[in-house]
This record gives sequence, C-alpha cells and structure tokens, in this order.
Amino acid sequence: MIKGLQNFKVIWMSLTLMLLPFVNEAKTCCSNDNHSHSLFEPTCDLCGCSTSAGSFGFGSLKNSNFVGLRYIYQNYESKDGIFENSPISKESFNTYQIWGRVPITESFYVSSIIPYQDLYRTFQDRVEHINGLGDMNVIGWYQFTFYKKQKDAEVVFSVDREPSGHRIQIGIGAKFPTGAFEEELTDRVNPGFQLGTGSLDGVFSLNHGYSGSKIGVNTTATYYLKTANKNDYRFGNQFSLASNVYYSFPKTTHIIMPFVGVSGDFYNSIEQFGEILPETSGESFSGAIGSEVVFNRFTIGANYTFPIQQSLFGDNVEAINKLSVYLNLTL
Amino acid sequence: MLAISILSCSSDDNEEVITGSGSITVEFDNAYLDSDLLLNTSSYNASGTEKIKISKVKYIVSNIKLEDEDGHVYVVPKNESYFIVDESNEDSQMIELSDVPAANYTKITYGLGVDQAKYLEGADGQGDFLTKAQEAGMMWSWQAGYKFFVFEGLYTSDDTTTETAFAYHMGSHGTALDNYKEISMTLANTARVRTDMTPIVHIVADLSNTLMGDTEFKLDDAPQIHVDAVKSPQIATNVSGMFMVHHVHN
Amino acid sequence: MIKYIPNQANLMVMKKTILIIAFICSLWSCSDDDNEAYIPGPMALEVEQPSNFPEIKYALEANTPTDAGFELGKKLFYEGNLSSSGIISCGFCHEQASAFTHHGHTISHGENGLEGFRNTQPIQNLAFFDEFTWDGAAIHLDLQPIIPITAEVEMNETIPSVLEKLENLPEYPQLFEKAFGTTEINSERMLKALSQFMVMMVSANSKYDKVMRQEEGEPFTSLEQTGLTLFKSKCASCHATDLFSDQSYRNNGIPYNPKHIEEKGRQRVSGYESDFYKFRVPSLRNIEMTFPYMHDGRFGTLEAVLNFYSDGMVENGGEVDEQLKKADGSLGIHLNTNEKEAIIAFLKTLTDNEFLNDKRFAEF
Repeated sequence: MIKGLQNFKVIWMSLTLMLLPFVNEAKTCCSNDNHSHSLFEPTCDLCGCSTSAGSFGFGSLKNSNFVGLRYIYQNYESKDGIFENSPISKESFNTYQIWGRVPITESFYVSSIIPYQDLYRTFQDRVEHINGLGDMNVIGWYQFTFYKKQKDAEVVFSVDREPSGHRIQIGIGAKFPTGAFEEELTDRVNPGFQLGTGSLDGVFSLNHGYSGSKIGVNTTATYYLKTANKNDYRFGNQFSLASNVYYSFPKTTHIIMPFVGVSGDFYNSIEQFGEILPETSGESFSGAIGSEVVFNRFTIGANYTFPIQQSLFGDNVEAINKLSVYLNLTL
Repeated sequence: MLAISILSCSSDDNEEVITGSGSITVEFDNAYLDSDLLLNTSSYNASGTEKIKISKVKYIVSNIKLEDEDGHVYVVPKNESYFIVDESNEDSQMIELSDVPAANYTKITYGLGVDQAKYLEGADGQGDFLTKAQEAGMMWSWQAGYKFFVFEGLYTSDDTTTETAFAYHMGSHGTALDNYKEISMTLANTARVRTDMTPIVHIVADLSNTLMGDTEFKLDDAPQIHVDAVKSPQIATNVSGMFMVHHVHN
Repeated sequence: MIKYIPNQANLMVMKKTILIIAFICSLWSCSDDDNEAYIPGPMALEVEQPSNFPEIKYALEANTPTDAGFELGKKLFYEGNLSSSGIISCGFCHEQASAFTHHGHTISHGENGLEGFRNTQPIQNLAFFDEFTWDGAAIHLDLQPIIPITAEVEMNETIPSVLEKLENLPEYPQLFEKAFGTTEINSERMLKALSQFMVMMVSANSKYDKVMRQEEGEPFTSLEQTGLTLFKSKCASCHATDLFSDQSYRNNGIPYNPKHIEEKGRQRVSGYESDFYKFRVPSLRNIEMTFPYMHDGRFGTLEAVLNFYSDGMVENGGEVDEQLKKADGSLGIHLNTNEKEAIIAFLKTLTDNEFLNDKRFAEF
C-alpha cells in the first residue's frame, strides 16, 4: 500500500477524495435556515471552550516532537440581546496551554493539549470572569513518510531511502470534558463563554506536511464529532481546515521561519434534547501571519490571526482577532 | 476504535417518563422592526414619510393554550388567563404560568384582547382583571369594555411638521364588533416543562406591523382611531400578525 | 297478674344495654358540643317571570340572587361613596318614584356639576334585556355600572379606588362575607351584588298587566281600550312584546341636537355610519312617571312625543327607520288628536304603582 501511495499524483487524488466528503459537509452544514429574522443568541464552542480548534494546529510548523507552552489570546464582540440595537459585550479569552507531541514508535505519535482558561466578558454595566481548567485533548497520530522513487538507471550509494519531504499524518483522538460547563451561561449571548463543553468529543484529523529545503507547506483538516453533555446540550459538529506556508531563513545560530496561512471553520447547529436550536451554526475564514524561530532545541512561535470573512450565529458574534505565542522544547 | 466507542457513548435512550407539573414563562418582547422598542426617545420610520416616537404600548393577552408533541392541549384556567403586557412595566412582559402539566410543548395559542364569552359572563369570573385593567387604563369608561390594544405617541411627516399626538385604541364594541383575535404559533424547538425545569418562550412583537401590516395606516389620515367599524378590525388584524416566537430556552 | 320480675342475669344485661345506649348518646351530644355555631347561608331569591313576559335573559346560574346579595346590592346602589365626592350614588339619578329615572331632568348632572348628553333611563325589568344604555355600550348587566362609576361627568371614580373605599367602610366587609362568604371585596363581587339587586326589579303589575293576565282589578275604560288597539297597529312594531321594546336600534327621525355634537347614537358603539342617531327602542312601562322623553330628554310630555311622531320627524343625518315612513315616503305616523288622546290614556295604564312603591327597592 505504501508503495502505491508514493505515487504523488495518487496521493493528491486520494487526499482530495478523502477531503471531499468533508467539504460537502462544510457546504451543507451551514445552509441558511428559512428564518427571515437573523436575530438570535449564538452558541458555539469555538470561542472559549475549544481553543484547541484545528485552526490553531496541533503542533509547530514542522510537526516535530516537542513539549511546550502556548498562550492564546482571543478577542470577540457579541450582542448582549436579540435586537439590532442591543448593547455589545466584549470578550477576551486567555488560554494557557501545555502541549506536546511525543513519539511512541517510529510512525506513531501522541499529541495532547491541556488548557487553562481565563475568560473575561465586559458588558456595559459589569464584567464577567471565569477561569479554570479547560477541555484537554489527546490524539494518536499515525505518520506516513514518503520517499523518493528510485529511478532504475540511478546508482544508489546508500541503503536508506531518501525522504521526499511529504508526510501524511492521520490523527484520531478525543477531547475530554475536563473543563466545567455551566448551563446558566448558555442563556446569554455567546454561550461559547464556557470553560468546557461538558462533552466527550471525537477528533479526526488529517495532516499533510511538505518541507523542502526552504519552503514548507502544512495543511490540516480536522473534524470534530460532538456529543451531548449532561444537560442534553450538544454543540454542533465542526470542520476546520488550515494551511500554512513557511519559508526558512537559516542563520548561523538559528532558523527564522515566517509563515502565512489561511483557515476556515464550519460549525453545525447546536442541539438540545435532540432538537436543533435555530440559528446556531456559523462559519469563518481567517488569515494568519506569524513566524517561528528555531534555536538550539527551542522553537519560539508567534501567530496573529485575523478574520477575512465570517458569519457566526446570525452575525451576532464577531471575531476580532487572535494572537498566540508558544515556546517548545524539541524532543 | 476510539471513534466508535465515542459514538456509542453519545447515544441517548428516549424513555423518559414525564410526570408532575411545573412552570413556564412566556415573555413578550416589544420591538420595532429589528430594534428593541424604546419608549419616547427613539424615532422610528412609519408609513411613507411619517416618523413616530412611541409613548405607550399596552395589550391584553388571554386564553393561553399549550399543545404538546402528542397533541394534548393544556388550557390555562380562564379566570387566571388574562394579562396586560405593558412596555413601560418590565414585570408585565414576563407571564409566568404555574401548575402546567409536565410535557414537551410544541405549540402556543393565545388571544389578543377579551373574548365575547368573557363579556357575557358578566362580573362572574372577571376576578381582579377588571380592576387591573382599570388601573392600567385599559377600560373604556363610556363602554363597559376593555381596550385590547393601546398604541400612543407623537408623529411628524412631510405634511405635518409639528409633532402631533396619535393614539390607536382597539377593542370590541358591544355585540356589534368583535375584535378579539386568536394567534397560534409553532415552537421551533420544544418547551420542556418538568418539575424542575421552567422553559421560557420568548415572543417578539414587532410593533411596526401596527401601521405597516396587512393594511397600511397613515397617521396623517387619522391620528386618533378609537372606534371605527372598518379600521378597528384592520388594526386588530395587523396587531395579531405582529408576533413571532423568537426562541425557546429550556 | 304476672309481673315481669327480671332475674339477676337479665338485670345485668339490661343494665349493660342501658349503659351502652347512654354512652353512645353522650358521645353524640359530646360531638355536638364540638360543632361551631350554625351560620345560616344566604337564601336564594326567585326572580319573577311574569307569564306575559318573554324569557329572562340574564344568566341567573352565574349569579343567583340571594337575600344577602340583594341587600348588599341595594346598599351599594344607594352608596354615595361610589362617586368621587361621596355624594352621588346610583340612586341619585335613578329615583324610585320616577321608575328609577332622574325626576324631571333632561340630562342629568353629575360630579362637579358636569353634564353628559343622555337622559337617565329607568331601571326595570333589566333581567329581560341583554344590551344596555341607549346605544348598547354594555352587553352584560354586571358590567353596566362601570360606565356611570368611571364616567367623569357622572360619578367620576375608578373601580380600584371605589373598592378601596368600600374596604375601609366598616359595614361592607361583613356584608360581603354574608353575601359571598368572604370579606375580600373585589370588582366581581361588587358588580354581582348590584346585579342581584337590579334583576329583582320586575315591573309587571300595572293595570295593563292585570287586564292582560285577566287578574282581579279594574278593566280598561273604552278610551284605554281604543288606545290599546291604536297602539298595537301604530306603535307595537317597535315597542313590541309586553316589555314594550323589541330591543333593536332604530332611528326615529328625531331632529339633530346641535347642543350635543358628541352624540352619534349606536354609531358610537358599532362604528358604522349607518347607525348614526339610532337608539335602542326604550320600554314604555311606567312611561307616565319617567318624563322627560327621548335620549336627550327633550320632550316633557307624552303629548309632545306624539306630536313629534305625527308632525315632527325629520332627516337627522342618519337613516330614518323604514317603519316610520308613510306610504308616500314622507316621515311620520298618522295620528289625529283623538287618537293621540286614546294612546296616552292607554300608556298611563302601564304605570305599576306596586313597583314604584315597593319597599324592597326603597332607599329608606
């Protein structure tokens, strides 16, 4: 099988084929309801509880093995009410994560993110603040490394195969309800203002990385299968797609890798008691810009994400921007 | 394997036995088009070049009925089923019904105003409502009857440049005119009443429908409409069409 | 002679039986002692249904008159505190001697000397009607008092304020308890009490009634008999049944009264322009005592009324009733002087002195 996959064209075709159902999902998940009014309190877990969203990535650009610390800052504005002239609340979320990716065998890895959430929401007359452990995830990855095809006429001086630079990783894991979910908070605008979703969710991810001598491309597609929590509240399934292109500038003591990227997130409607709550789906497209610096065994990264186009929950929630910085120790 | 086990974890068994009774809140949220209705200060666009500032919005909600997913209908006892929703009184906008049988409700029906049957009961069963209506200014003195809908304010237009008062009072008139209307709406997701769960049915009333509903009204034509054989029923139809269930919160 | 001498065993049995019976009896009386003193409930009153009247329309099952309710209703009827000054009660305008109309007044004056635009109507036989006031503004007897109580030009009060006053007058809470079983005074009970008082006011014992029902009393004079015949042919199409009203709304060609531009007749209630200046056909019972006549009290005598019908009808801005048009299309009813005399004589037979002097309805 692996030999077959070495054929690059086959790889791309199968990748596209595998992603196709997801794309379909993305298109149908957010088709507009027949509701003519677009006034409703939005609910999603993108904002607060699930900052381990695919658009942030599960690892550094080169997907090396590491353990590290990451800080993510997110900024949102939500309507505090169902009307056009309802007041706005500003949300700022601080997430502190311990994250890492460790090898188990040559092809099998495990990554995990353990977040701590510190969330603020400012209304016109008061400030709400919740903090605590968030939902952690554990994902097992299987990596396929691709090697250059040997030409018949070529003379090979080594026994080892040369990696072509392409890599595919398939990840299957779960997000655990280690963060608290408060049902009262769902009564407000943006019930994403939670420490956790209270549910055990499935995470399925597909990552493709190409690292050449200078340029690299890192693409991840992730599908979240959400389950209902103890309040029979089920966040909608989510599909995220992110792709970053980086360029290496090797220096004597370190390598600088600036990158740019795009990402898209698609959210299905939320259900409670098995019924779809109207106007709780959403989608957003963002751009990202940042850089990693690798020196010794450390990688420092910074990533600034800005929205390009979004329609979150009847346009009642607006993502303003996100910033993340991380420090990893390569294993 | 992990995925499969996760999936199987999430499957629910819907064999809940529903007993007892609880409470449900019906919230009437007054709006003007997409905006929250703000009395006196905000200026809203009405028909043609008319702009209005609203100083009073009051209406009578009555005979509330709830239908559950099996088709059973719970009727709020008639003597407890008359309410005055007043924009200037926040408490009046949340109607709390108690001793409601626990069930999953999918439809709500209520009347706007007072039905003829109630009048013909005389004082029997008017209970406190007559007094409440008097206090709220929802009774016509010259006619022993209730005002179902009160809509007052000031308006200007290209033809009327100084602020002029307008007032629409709509009700039934004796036996001649029955302007009581019944409104029925399906809930997008069920309202689950249990002994320990009190859902809120959040209804939005778009007051712009009064002047710009099935019949368009220009205040320049008649800023005061109290009794009108033709216009009062049209106002009743406009107003009964201004409601929608915005959402249900369980 | 055999004497029954109980032997020892029999005696024992007898003693035991007596003791047991005595014990049971004492228990009975013991439990009696525990009972509260018996409070008699209100006694139901029967509303008279005269044989020559149509069916009662008031829903008696919903508000059955009782002696306690009636007495409370009467007290409220004559209670000046139902008005803002404390002076004007229902009885102020509805005086029994004039069949509960305002003696001699065209338009009644109310609080602060203010006047309305309507003539006070009699309170009699209201149990047989289902719409009230000259334009049918009230469609249930219970609700009618709200109009005069809250009208600024009449009693100038509000229901909540009136209820509060009653709560603070020492006699009322007990009266309410006697009538309704609770001292809680609310609008429902106040209005029901007033209705209980009013439905009992049945006027059906005039000379006319006695003749019609062939009861003991004086027969009609020949003038009165002639009047009856004329009445039946010229008046009874609208003033029908022994209530002398068909309870419909009609425009009788009465000239428009420019002093009261707010008067629109039935149109005020229905909103239809075609109802302009239509008024509810009034009952003619006790008509001798209820002058002046018409909705604004403009005619002081019955002669003036009949003169109007023969020669005074005009177009008044509304649609004059077809029944009041002559064959040639002009307005009016053919009546000559003799005929008018006879009709008036007949109308006087509708006076029911028993009703006008009935102590049950009197203030003092």
